[in-house]
This record gives sequence, C-alpha cells and structure tokens, in this order.
Amino acid sequence: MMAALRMEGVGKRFRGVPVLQGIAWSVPVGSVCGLIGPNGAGKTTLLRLLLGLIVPDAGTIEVLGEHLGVENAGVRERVHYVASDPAAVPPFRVGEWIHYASLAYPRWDAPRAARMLDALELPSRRLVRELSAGQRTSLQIAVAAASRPDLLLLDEPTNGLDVLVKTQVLQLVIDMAAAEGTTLVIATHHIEDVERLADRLAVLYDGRLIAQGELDALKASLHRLQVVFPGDWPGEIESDPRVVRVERQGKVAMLTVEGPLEPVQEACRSRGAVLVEPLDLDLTDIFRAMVEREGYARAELRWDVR
Amino acid sequence: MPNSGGTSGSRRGTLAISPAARYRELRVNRTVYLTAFLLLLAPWALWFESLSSILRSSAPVLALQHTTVAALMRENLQGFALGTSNPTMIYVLGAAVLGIALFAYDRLAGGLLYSLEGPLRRREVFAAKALFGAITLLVPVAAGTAGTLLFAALSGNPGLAGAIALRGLFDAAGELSLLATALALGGAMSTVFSVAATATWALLPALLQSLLMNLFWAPGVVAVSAGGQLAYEQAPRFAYPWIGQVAMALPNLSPFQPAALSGWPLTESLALLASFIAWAALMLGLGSGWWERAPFERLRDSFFFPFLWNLYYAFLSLLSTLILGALITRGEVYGAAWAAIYLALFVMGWFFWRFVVIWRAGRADRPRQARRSHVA
Repeated sequence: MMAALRMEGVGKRFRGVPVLQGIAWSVPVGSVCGLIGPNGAGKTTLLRLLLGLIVPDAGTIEVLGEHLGVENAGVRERVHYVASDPAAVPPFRVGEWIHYASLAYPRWDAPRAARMLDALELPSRRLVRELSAGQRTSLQIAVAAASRPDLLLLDEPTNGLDVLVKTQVLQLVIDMAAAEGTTLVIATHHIEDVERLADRLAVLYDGRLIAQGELDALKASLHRLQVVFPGDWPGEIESDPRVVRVERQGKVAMLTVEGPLEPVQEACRSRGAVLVEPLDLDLTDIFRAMVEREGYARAELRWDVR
Repeated sequence: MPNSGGTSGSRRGTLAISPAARYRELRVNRTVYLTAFLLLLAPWALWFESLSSILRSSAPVLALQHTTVAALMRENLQGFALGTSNPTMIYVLGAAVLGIALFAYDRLAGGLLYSLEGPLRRREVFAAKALFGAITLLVPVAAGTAGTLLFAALSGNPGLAGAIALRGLFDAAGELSLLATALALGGAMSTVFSVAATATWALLPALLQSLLMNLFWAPGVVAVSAGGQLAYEQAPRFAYPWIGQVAMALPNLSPFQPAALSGWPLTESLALLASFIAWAALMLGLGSGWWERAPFERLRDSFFFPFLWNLYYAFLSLLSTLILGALITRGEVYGAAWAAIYLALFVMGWFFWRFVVIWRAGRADRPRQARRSHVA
C-alpha cells in the first residue's frame, strides 16, 4: 500500500541535544494513525518535520510521494497542520483568515468553509486572538477541512474543547477522512480518542519510535493477567522476559505480559497460583507498559512530603 | 464546487509573489506601512510649505532682503540638491526602522510562523516585505522630487532640474539600500539584535573616520599629516559601495554630492548611484537566501545561524574596545602604537565576550539538564 508519509533514519538535534533519533515510520494512505508519547517525547517536532518546516539533521522524509527538501511549500498545499495551542496566532479576523486561506490553498472549498463557520458558530468579524482556545481550534479545523488536504496532522486537537464540540470536531475529521481518503495523524495525550478513532498507532518515547503498527496488532501483543498466589511470591515470575510489568498487592498480582499468554499462564499455575485470569488491557495500560519497558519512571508525588 | 483560488502550483520556481502572500503581508503589516508612509510624507509637506511661502513672499519683504523670489528659491533648491536642506536623515532613519519593523511586528503579531506552516514560500514572504517596503519609501520620494521640480519650474529655475532629479534618485537608491540591509538583518536575527546591527552599520562610516584620525594623527601636531588627511578624506570614497547608503546623512561626507553642483564628475555620481542599487540587490539576495535557509527551530533565538554570533561578539568587542582604548590611551597615543593597542583590545574582547556569552548560555541550560536527568 502506498505510504502517505515515510521516514527513514530521521534524527534531529536542538542545540546539540538529540530530540529525535533514528525514526523509521510509515503511515499508509487513508489510515488514521494515533501518535502518542509522554510530554517532551518529540511529537510536535515530528509533525513539524513532516510539514517541512524544520529540516532533519539525518535521514530522509517522504510525504505524499515527495521527498522533503528545504522549501516544501508545494507539499504544504496538500498537508494541513492543526495545533490546539498554536505557537502563532494570525493577526486576522476570522473572515480575513478564511479569505487568506482561500487564496493560499489551491483546492479551497468555499461552500464547505461557510458551512463549517456556521456550524461551529464562529463570528467572522472577531479577531482570531480574541477567540477562546477551543474556538481557535475549531476555526483551524474548519480551515483544514475546507482546504481539502491529503494529509491532516492534528497536534493535540481536542485540548480546550468542551465535550460537545470535541465530539463534533472529531466526528468531522473522521467523516472527512472516510469520504475523501484523507490520511490523519493525531498526536495526543487523550489515549481514549486514539483508541476510538485510530486504526494505527505510533508510540514515541524520548525521541525514539518504540512501537508502530496496526492498533489491533499492537493491542494483541500485550495482555494482562490477574494471579493469586496463596503462599510466598515466586520471584522467578518477575524475571520472566515475557512479563514486562508486575503490580502486587498482598497475594494478588497483576502481570502485564508481552506475546502469547498461555505459556505465562502455565508457568504461574505450575508455581502454585490458585487464580490465573486474563483481563482486558486498555490502550493506556499498553502505553504505560511500552514506555516503562524503555525505562520511563516518575517519582511518586506526595502531598504530605516537603 | 471548490474554487481554485490558490496559485501556488503555477508559481513554483518563479519570482512572482502570490495573491496570498501579498494579502497576508498587507494585513499583518498594514499599520507599519501606513505609519511609515505618513511619517515620510510629512517632511515633504513641510518642505513644500516652506517653498510655497517663498513663492508667496511679498515684494516689500524681498526688497528688504535685496533678493528676488527666483534667487531665494534657487538658494533653497540648491540646498535640496546638495542634501543640506532636505529631510534626508528622516528618510534614512525611516528606511532602517521600516526594514526592521516589518519582521519585528510580524514576529510579535505571531502571523509569521502560522503563514509558514501553510503553503506560502519563504521567498514570497521576504519578497512581499521588500516590495511593499520599497513602495512605501519610494512613493514619498517620487512625489517629493516631482513637487520640487514643479517648484523649480514655477520659480524660474529650470536649470536646477537635473541636480534635483539626481538628488531624488540618490535619496531613493540610498533608502532602498538601507531598507534591504535592515530587511536582511531583520530576517536573520531577533529584533533587538537587528536594531543594534543596523544602528552599528549606520554609524560605521563616522566610526571609521574617527578611527582613521587616531591612526594617522601625529602626536603633538594640531593639523593632520598629509597621509592622514588623504586617508581621512578618501576612506569613505573607497568604502562607499559598502557604507555609501548613509553617506548622504552625514554632513562630513559632503564630497558625495550630485555632479551638477559639487563638481563631481557625472560618471562618479552615477557610479555611486549604481553602487547603492547593487548594494540593495546584494542585500536582498543575501537576506532572501538567509531567510529561505533559516532553521525555524531557531525562530525565537537571537540568530538563525550560529556564525552570526561572531558578529555579536565583534559588536560587543567593538564597544568595549572603544571604551577601554580611550581609557588606556587617554588621547596621547597615535599611529602604530594606537593601532596595536586597539587591535589587541578588539581581539581579546572578541574572545572574552564569546566566553561570557557561552558561559551564560551554559548556566541557563543547567536547570533544564538537571530536570531531564531527574526524569530519566
């Protein structure tokens, strides 16, 4: 299948500090790919590289069949970037922004823009900087939809949106992707949105892409097992390479298992487990297991410790 | 039915500025352009008012001064042509401030990054600023020069038309070259630094002359030596392709006057004019090239390109050299000894400021590194 974007060995440093390293990533045309990672993992930098706004120090990037160079304005006619908290707010009124976008994007759909402004209740006389964060995001989504992109990059698109607008906006982009074959890349902290919308997933941690692929396949690669050992805790369970995470509370333990579940179930039973029960693992758990496997850890936050 | 408003596809590889780039530039910087335009028109209005008041002078007043309207007008128009009575300094300042403000306001207003996330070409953004900036500067000069020519004709001084027109061309070319310099610097560095760099640029000719005086003056001699005199007079002439755009603003560089009145050969005047245009073209090309290759992850940095930090160290070193040099030499050291002291101070200053700036940057980065290691 043709790739909407393809990265090979991409690296980027800011002031000598590596922000992205050895990124090899591919997203097929027409798919909806969730991009998740802890704060500072490099998600926004990755999207800006795809826009051709910044240039990688190493590797190659291909977007919609074109290799990115220095300028890349032609690619940006077909790629649209939406950030919920944009670094730059255009000093335009809403109507001026729409007019500007109609001049800038060759495939501008004026009736769609008008319908979107109406549906999102965006006043054309208001200055963009006077809009709330949610309204600004809605406006960006409207501009993105009317520019009819082949690739839509959404950077935390639902931050600041109330639940009703969030549902409306997400449904819109999904409908657009389905109807027009638009490829979506959604970088977000809202893992439940990814779980609901995406068919592919990429996980970024500390500047490295630690997992990518079809969402169902990634979910099938990790499992949760609830086990109860009436006697002493068998320490060898934790050293089993298939067990990536153990949470113990008394005699009950939750194991996160990578790969086939049956061998671990059998190992637990053979060591005296009286209960070995597979449980559903949601995407948040999978994400946590993935980044913890890479060494992610946070100190416990204690309100009563100075 | 979707329209096909965008024109980016057809303009790829051309120097044309798309309607989107023109629209964006005018919307974002309209206040800057309008303010600059009105400020640059104002001196012309005052100038025309003074000329028309001469035209309206009553016969008794003129008789009292033993002159005529034609003679009084000739005196004023000659002053204009020589650059002593026209508001040249305001133009020079206006051109420099406009060039800096066009990027500064765009950065401040926030529209710059947004536009570049869209399909605008970087070159178009720069070219639109150069185009509208040039129009803002040149329309007042053209109107002012045309009006002055009209006054010359009305007052019976048609013979001054050539000198007035040449002065208008000098003004226009000088402003263009300064605008281009400020745009190139404004696109490559942050506002504060581009102001400092442009100001330093504008002061360089005077500074150069001052330094040459110290280099060539013999101790205890009131008058300059013959060699010093020659170097003092000729240095700006040799340097004019580099510093020429500010020559008109500095009374002590009066040799640069239009041929008709100052006795300069016309070919030299035209060569100077051509040097302004060439300098403007060079700066626009350089600035546009810098802007096209600018790494936008450094958009909020002081300089887009690391090598430009060397200019900053040189600027700081120049300031510290001037202060320390004056304290050390106390006006009693000249010639080679003076040059050696100042050169040594400048070189040491460059390394000193480089060390200080990098050391400070390292201190600022330390807490961030500590946070990173804590998380890991």
